[in-house]
Amino acid sequence: MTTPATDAIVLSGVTKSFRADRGLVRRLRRLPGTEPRAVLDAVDVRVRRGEIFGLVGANGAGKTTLLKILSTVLLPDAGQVIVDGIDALADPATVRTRLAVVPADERALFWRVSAKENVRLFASLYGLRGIERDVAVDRALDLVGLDHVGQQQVGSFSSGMRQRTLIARALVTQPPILVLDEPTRSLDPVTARELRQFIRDTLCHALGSTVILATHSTEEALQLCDRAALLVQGRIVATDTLQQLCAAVGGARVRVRVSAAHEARARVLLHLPTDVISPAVDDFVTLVATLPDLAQAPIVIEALVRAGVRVAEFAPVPLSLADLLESAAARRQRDEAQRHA
Amino acid sequence: MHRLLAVARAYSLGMLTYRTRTLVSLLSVLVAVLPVYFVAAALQPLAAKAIASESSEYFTYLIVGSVASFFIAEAVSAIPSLISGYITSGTLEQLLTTPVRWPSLIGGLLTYGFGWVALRALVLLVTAWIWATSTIAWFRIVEFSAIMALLAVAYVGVGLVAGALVLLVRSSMFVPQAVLTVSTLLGTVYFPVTVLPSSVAPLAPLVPMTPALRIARQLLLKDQSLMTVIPEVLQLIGWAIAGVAVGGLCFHLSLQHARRAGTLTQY
Repeated sequence: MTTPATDAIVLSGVTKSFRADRGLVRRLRRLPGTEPRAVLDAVDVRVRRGEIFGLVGANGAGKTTLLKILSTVLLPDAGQVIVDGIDALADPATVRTRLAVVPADERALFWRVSAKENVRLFASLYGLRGIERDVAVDRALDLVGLDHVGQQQVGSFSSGMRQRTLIARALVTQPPILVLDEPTRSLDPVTARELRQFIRDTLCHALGSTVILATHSTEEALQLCDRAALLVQGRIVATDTLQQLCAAVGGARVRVRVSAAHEARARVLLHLPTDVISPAVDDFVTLVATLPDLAQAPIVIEALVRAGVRVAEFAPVPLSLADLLESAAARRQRDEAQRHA
Repeated sequence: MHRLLAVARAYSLGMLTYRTRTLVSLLSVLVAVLPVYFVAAALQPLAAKAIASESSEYFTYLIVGSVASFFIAEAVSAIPSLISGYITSGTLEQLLTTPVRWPSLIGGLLTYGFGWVALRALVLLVTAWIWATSTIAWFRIVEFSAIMALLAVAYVGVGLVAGALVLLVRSSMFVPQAVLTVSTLLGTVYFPVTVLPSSVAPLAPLVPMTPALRIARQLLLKDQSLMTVIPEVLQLIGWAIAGVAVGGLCFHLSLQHARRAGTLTQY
């Protein structure tokens, strides 16, 4: 397969199955429940150089599996994996020199030694030595803001500091590709925001790294990713910018607070079921409707007002990951059904 | 090599933070010498004839056997134990995402353990030397150390097989315990081959411990040169090569299997 120079990562038809039960006796006796379970199904992804690419999906969608295949610790059943122009299945050793992984699990650190020693170990494993290594270690710790606590044991750190140590460890050799698995999973909102800013401003813009990150947070994906792929049960259901994905698969959801006396009329105008009555609070009910586009909002408001409906609130509802994935999966099913028909 | 040393440094720094455990472990060696000394003294008249070709004193005979036991215990059990722990924490998978190769990784992780065993063995030998009535040929300590290293390498093969089993089925299937028991019983740790039942005595030369201890005792307790035990040395070298080759192949294949099955880390 030829890959354009603009592509940092190309995954083509990547498929992977795991056995649901790994018990030796159960497997040998071929008992029920030991059949392989498909985790990735013909996944195609192209990540451009210098972009932040998100793998967005619910728990168990196959995000981590895909990242493990990318980082050569897991072999796919089928498909091709090209990292920085190198076939990861034919030459995994070289691929390992081109990317660094920040795992979701902070236990993967050496907890009884200092942050500096953890980063130093990885610098050595990537082939740095002597003064060059020491400078790189100090720079990586400085980048993540841990230079002042570098000598402290990782075991005494908070989750956020350990996450930063993992990132420093990955950054120490300034690899062209960084793989981040749910990097803000165990962080408080403020630290998570700082880390996202760091990924965007420092990793991507200043250092020019290509970042591929797995997340189940649409907020994180919207803030960080140039483009993202929606992963549902091991299948990519859509790949685009998050804004486009939201617009294409989710429409625009709005929360409308209207007078309880005019609920039935409002439901008709908002294309909501009319055989339901919402609980009223202070003579008002709250309805959630989906518009084809947020630009339709003024027209809808005007129609409601003309119909005599008192509108107390009309606000967009942020799309949740669940909404996004459900819509994307439904849309894909529709498309496939139409294709078969 | 520098990758191996880097792993050894990080692992050792971590282990050295367990100061109390380290101190207690060292003191336990000193305490363990006491019962060995008194039991050996009591059995000396009975054992003297049977061990005469390897030692004039049963106490030093047992001490050299114990030193060898330290090395093989570390060799067979350290790898499966480390692999199991690192699978659970995700460290193994993380280390394997780097350009490090598994022999450097395993070598680095074993360095501290064997260094620690060597220190405990030295303490044991010095204590025995102080208490023993017979002499210890200290100027043969380098040759003795080389033999212990060869013995350890021979048994590291078993450790690699046990590590491979952990990668495959999450259990070493009692391989380290079985090998330790058989080697201790047949390998002349506590008694010479001559006192073994005739049905099992022919099996003794099939255990790498047997030639290793014969060489070790000839060097340290009989003040003989390596040239007098060349057949045993060659036998031990053979065991070491075969052990590492078979163990290394098993470990490599199981690592490939784990990469396919996704069992490099615990879900």
